[in-house]
Amino acid sequence: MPVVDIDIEQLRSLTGRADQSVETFKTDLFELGLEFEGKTEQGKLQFEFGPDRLDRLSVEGVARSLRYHYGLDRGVEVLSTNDAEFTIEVTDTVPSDRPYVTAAIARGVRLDGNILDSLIQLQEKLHATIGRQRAKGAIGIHDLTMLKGHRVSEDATGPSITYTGVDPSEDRFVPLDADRELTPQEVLDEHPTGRKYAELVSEYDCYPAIYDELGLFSFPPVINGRRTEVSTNSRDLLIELTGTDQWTIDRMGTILCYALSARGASIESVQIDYDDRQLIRPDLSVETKQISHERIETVLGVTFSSEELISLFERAGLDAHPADRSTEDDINYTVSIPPYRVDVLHPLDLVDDVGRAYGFANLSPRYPDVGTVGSRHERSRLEAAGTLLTGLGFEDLLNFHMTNETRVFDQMSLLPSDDAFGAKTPVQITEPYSEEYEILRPWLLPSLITVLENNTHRPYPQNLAEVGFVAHNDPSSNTRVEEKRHVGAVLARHDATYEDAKAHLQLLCENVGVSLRTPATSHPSFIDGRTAACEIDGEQTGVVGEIHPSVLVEHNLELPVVGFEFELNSFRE
Amino acid sequence: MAEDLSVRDLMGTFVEFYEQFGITDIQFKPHYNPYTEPSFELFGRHPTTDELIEIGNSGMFREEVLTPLGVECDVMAWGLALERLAMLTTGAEDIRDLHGTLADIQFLRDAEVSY
Repeated sequence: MPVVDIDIEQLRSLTGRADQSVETFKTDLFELGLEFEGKTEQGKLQFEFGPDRLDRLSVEGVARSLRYHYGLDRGVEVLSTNDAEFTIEVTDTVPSDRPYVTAAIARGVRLDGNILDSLIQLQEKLHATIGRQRAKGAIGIHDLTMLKGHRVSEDATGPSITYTGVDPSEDRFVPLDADRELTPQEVLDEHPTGRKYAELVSEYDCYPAIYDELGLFSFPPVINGRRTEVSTNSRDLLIELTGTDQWTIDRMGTILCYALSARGASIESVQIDYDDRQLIRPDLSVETKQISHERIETVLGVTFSSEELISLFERAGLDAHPADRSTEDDINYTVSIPPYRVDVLHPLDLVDDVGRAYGFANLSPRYPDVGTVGSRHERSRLEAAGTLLTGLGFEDLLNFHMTNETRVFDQMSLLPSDDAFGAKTPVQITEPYSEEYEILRPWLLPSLITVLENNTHRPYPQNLAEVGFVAHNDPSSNTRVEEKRHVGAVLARHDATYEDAKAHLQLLCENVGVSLRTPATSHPSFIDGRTAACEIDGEQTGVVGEIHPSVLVEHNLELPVVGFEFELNSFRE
Repeated sequence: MAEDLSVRDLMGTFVEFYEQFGITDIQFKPHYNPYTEPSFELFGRHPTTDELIEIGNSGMFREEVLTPLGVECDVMAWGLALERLAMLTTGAEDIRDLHGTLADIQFLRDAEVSY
């Protein structure tokens, strides 16, 4: 989940609560859904939150939420913008997968005193979340004074820049963190940032590029040019975003504009000239949703007056007006949603906002007044296996479903191709995070024996059992994976024998009410002549016996281990 | 699943459930899940470290989730972490002692059975 780094002094200043303690901020933010995670090395506070409210990816956005929470701001704030002077012309050589651009100009911003850091953090966090590591949307921020736009035509009112495609090796520019001119191709081959993002553009015939009158100054989504680099002295900024869909980059741009506005910037529109249409950006349009008074009350379990509700909407940064078709008994509200919100899909999402503004902590929990008649489910009959094993003196274990081939095969003297219980083609994890966890376990005993291996310093006897999931590849199943639950148990004791394992298994079966037969069998993990198949109600579904010394040596176990494992389904009626 | 369930019913369910284990200070943090709205993460205070730890996630299923299944009433949903509950009741500080192949048999033997 996203984490936002907060400089507490900036938060105090932006919320106008200069003396408020860190603890109070933490409590208030918890109510809004932001959880304190710890501190960065620089002493910033880190808060984690759900990935819906991307406008909270910066201290400016978090402060805005708090200002609403404290009642310092109310209702929808739509940024006022000055008319567009700049135009971005989009040419037809732009890569067809990445044709979209949006932009805004922010004038009069102050970036000193860590504000630039905050802006860069917001940019990076937007890239990491909604921007999908720049694949879906990429942000470029430029010092406007270093740009020179040419007039497109006689009747154009202002300067213009061009979003276009460029031959990978045709033009050159000095990218950020470089000291010489490189072609876009050289950026991808030689520049660390270029290498990192190369795969986003390397398939294109023409690479995306932004030009002003002086030439190439940005190579989105990879890197900006050094000429327009933003510093703490920059006052006027051009924010451009390119991506694979207009909605995403518009929302990212809007969130940036609100953050810059909170830092005193005035926002100026930019005209985007596509081949077939013109857009005025940033997109600050306000969406509306309809929701009924009653729906809010039933979801939250609280009765509100109409005035209270409208006030709560305002405290959530929304505006609500009774809709035209409301009657006295059935009030509907038309709710306006500010443009920085990316999460409101459905009227229900507004109820959550009302709840947070009201304070979920202020709701009194009540046990649901719902009467039902229950009955025993087939599952609960099966669950009894675990309880019985506990009753028979086994420690109830919960092992991971993921493991590795060494543990389930090599260390058990088993091959996936063997005709033996547990020998199955395992389900492989694609690109596993760790060598320890690269397959799903096809049987349980390897997990149980590993627990024994990790507990050789604990007193014996050690009796362990697990009822758990196993899986293997099965081309005939419609998911190509067969999932089952197995029952497994091991007994480790200086004099453990086949009879101990069988006795416990027998008791378990008698208590469940199924018949057990144990015809002799052989299994690579067990000692020949001390091993039997579990034949439950006439069906062979498992194995019971003495674990082979070679397996014990692999696990550094210096005393006998016996055990059994079978399919839980054998206990079905 | 029932007619007219509210988030108060959801909260009340957990207050009651955890009270059965002697845990009486459950906190609710509003949260986001794609499939429930409103959603809450549940927090409890660890008896030894005094830290607030997340013990579960919950919410009211969204209409978009229920309609395709033909469900017309309200549905509360949750997932509670067994090992977190065990941490609160036993004071355990490392979940690896409780489950997985590194589980400490002595811990499992000594922990009181409670349900």
